[in-house]
Amino acid sequence: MSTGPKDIPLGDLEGQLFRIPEEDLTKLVAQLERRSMDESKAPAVAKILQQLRPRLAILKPQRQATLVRLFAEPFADLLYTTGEPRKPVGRIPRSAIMPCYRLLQENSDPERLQRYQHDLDAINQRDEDALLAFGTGFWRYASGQLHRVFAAAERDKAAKAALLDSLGEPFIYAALKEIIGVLEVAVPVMELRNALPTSGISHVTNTYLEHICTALNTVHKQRPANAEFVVFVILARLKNPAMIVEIMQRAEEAGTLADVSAVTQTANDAIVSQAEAKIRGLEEKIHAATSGKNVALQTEAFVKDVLGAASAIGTSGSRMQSRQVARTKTEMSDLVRREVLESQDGLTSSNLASIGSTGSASEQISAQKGLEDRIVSLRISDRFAHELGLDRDVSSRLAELEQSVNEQSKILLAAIRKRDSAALSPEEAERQLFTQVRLTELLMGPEIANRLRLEGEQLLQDY
Amino acid sequence: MANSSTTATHFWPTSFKERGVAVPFTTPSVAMARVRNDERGRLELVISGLSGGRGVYVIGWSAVPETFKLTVYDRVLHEHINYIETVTPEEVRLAALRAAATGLAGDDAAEAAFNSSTRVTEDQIRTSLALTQHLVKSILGVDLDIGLAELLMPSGQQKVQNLLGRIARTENIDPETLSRVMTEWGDLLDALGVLEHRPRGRFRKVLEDAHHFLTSYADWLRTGDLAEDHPATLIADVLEETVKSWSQAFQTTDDYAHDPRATIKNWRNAKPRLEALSVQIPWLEDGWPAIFSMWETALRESHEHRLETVATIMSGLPLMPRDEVPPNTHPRWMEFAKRLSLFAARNEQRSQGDINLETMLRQEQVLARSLG
Repeated sequence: MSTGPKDIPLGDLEGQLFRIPEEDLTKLVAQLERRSMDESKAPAVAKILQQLRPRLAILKPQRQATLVRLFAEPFADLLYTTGEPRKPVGRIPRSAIMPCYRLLQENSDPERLQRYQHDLDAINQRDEDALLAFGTGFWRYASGQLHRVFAAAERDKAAKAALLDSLGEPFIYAALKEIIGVLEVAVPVMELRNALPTSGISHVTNTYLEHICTALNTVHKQRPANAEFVVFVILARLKNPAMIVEIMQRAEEAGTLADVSAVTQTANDAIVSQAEAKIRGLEEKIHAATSGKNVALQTEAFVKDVLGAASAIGTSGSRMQSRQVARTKTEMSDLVRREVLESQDGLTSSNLASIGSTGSASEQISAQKGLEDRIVSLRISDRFAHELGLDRDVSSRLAELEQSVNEQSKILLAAIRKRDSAALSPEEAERQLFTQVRLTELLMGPEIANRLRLEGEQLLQDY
Repeated sequence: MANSSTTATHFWPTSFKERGVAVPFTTPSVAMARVRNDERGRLELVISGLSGGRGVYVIGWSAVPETFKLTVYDRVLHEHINYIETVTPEEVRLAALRAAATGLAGDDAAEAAFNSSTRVTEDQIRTSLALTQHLVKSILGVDLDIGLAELLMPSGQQKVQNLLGRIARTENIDPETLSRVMTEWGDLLDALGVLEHRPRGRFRKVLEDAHHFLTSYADWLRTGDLAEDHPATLIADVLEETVKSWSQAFQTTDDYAHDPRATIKNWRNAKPRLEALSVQIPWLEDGWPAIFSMWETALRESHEHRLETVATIMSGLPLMPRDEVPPNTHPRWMEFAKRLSLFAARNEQRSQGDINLETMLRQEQVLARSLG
């Protein structure tokens, strides 16, 4: 028997995430989505939904058919979660959805919206064609209503001030502009979204290219200035943003009607802006991370993104864009040196001192875990240190750790040779030996570590 | 090292002994490898997908550390397994528990090994109590409401003895015989569990994990943007077929508990059948806990990592042996073996070079989960 959503142990959401029955999860998500309509509850709901996202990404449960969901669907690829009150080019913060949707409600005929909701309820949510057909009318209406309000605000300072006040933040105002842009060309954007893989495109096949050209051409015929939104969607799905340059070249060779040069420049702006935003995102992730290993892995992914951005800009970007990317790399380097390397030096020294001491078992385990995490994070950092000019910072720390662990191992072997079980019991000697072997393996590899083990075990036989 | 034929039959063992037992290595290049006794009783490693080859490889056990660059934990595990005379899932598990307890595969694996070892005695007592409670309820219609602490007190033991004495009188069985049967029966159900009682039993929990795996794996197959000819579906197909055998084995085990009166009276017949089941079920489930554990880790990672995990699982997918499945299912299993051999021919992924640190750490997490 399945449990009700109230019984789901949200305290252990991470551990139970993939064991919550689908039916309960769908109910839970529907409840959360309803609650998110209440502005005061929205931030807390967003946090829970963020935790559910790994499961939702695989399960893709049937979501509640709400107009707000349909409203956000064309720009779903561009959404991101941030605690920062700013937005990079080509991305839309999730926090902009509700203020912009409320703006639509305030500037729409309520009966018409009710009719839309009624019609939407009658559609099978897995019927993509029916949804697209329905969305065509709704998105046209929504973009028209929002465009009217936005255009009025652009013309009149007082109207703009009032709109900014109602949206809450200037970056939501910027997001509104892009939301309108996407909604104006929602149908070709949605057709492209349905045709491309959902994420991590590493190779653009001719079929994908055909869909991209179709979308660019359709948008060019309808609203040439909105071609950038097609590119933003493609960018969001690429594994490496640098691929956009080649895609645009191939689209040009394939005879696309779109202004490839202008679109590529916009794409470059987005790449640079998104790379800059990643620095802020990285800083947030570093502070929220629970292990050095995760920090190093996330940093490595960011470095790859920034290198991809540098590669894209290097091929087709302006000098200013290149300087911006170079500055981003420098900022990232400073951040990693400060927050990843230097900030952990003190703890590493203290953990090293604890390892060979006579502290409690829990202290020893905690110190060993800390050291293992440090070694792993440094070894991962070593893979990208060169790209950020941090080779010496990382290698010197690894060398210091190697020296310390080697010295501790020698001291331990000498103590075992003394066979003074009053000073060092055989059990404790064995435990310390395995600790040293483990650290040696992580630092210097299994061959050296195994030699230490064999030597230690040989000595322990005569203990 | 001998390269076997690449025909599908080489991917379909005839018996559990030929299939061997999955070894929980943490070295990525030997993940999903198996150990078995050869015809002379010597140990050998069975592994598929070595670089440059397309079949199943068999390597003498003593040559394994020279052939592969192993983690230190794996070298210790290799040494422990070296002492095993007759390879069984339980023997390999004990070797893994001993090796993991050193901490050489990380603290999580050490803790899991420690907890698993210390839980055994308590679980034995709890299972024995659960069986007694089940018997008392079934025959006397009485709820034996007693906790572990009370059971260890003289008054608690007296309470249980009194109820068992009543059963002996009611059923006209010698009390000593009843006591012996209950001890033997409890020992046999130790890791299998008593139906609808706690502890669930280690092997019954694996069956639950199988259902969870099938659900989450089906979700991923549905939404994962896989190519139409992607071989990933084979894993679910094989498991679904395998689960039928597991369920059948547990059903038979539970049938004896459903009718405890008959089981006790015919213990002479029931005992060998339950003994056979307690030997068969670990073989049936062998290799799958590690697969479930790998998938549980992969679920929280990227799509690319999930694809890598699928390839790793496929490299050691445990097919039910020919002698262990009904003859009418042979064509189906042969088809699985063919699909597996085709995949192996396309996926020569193992590297004998340096150990990838993150993959090793991930394998350690898999080990910790599967020991827990």
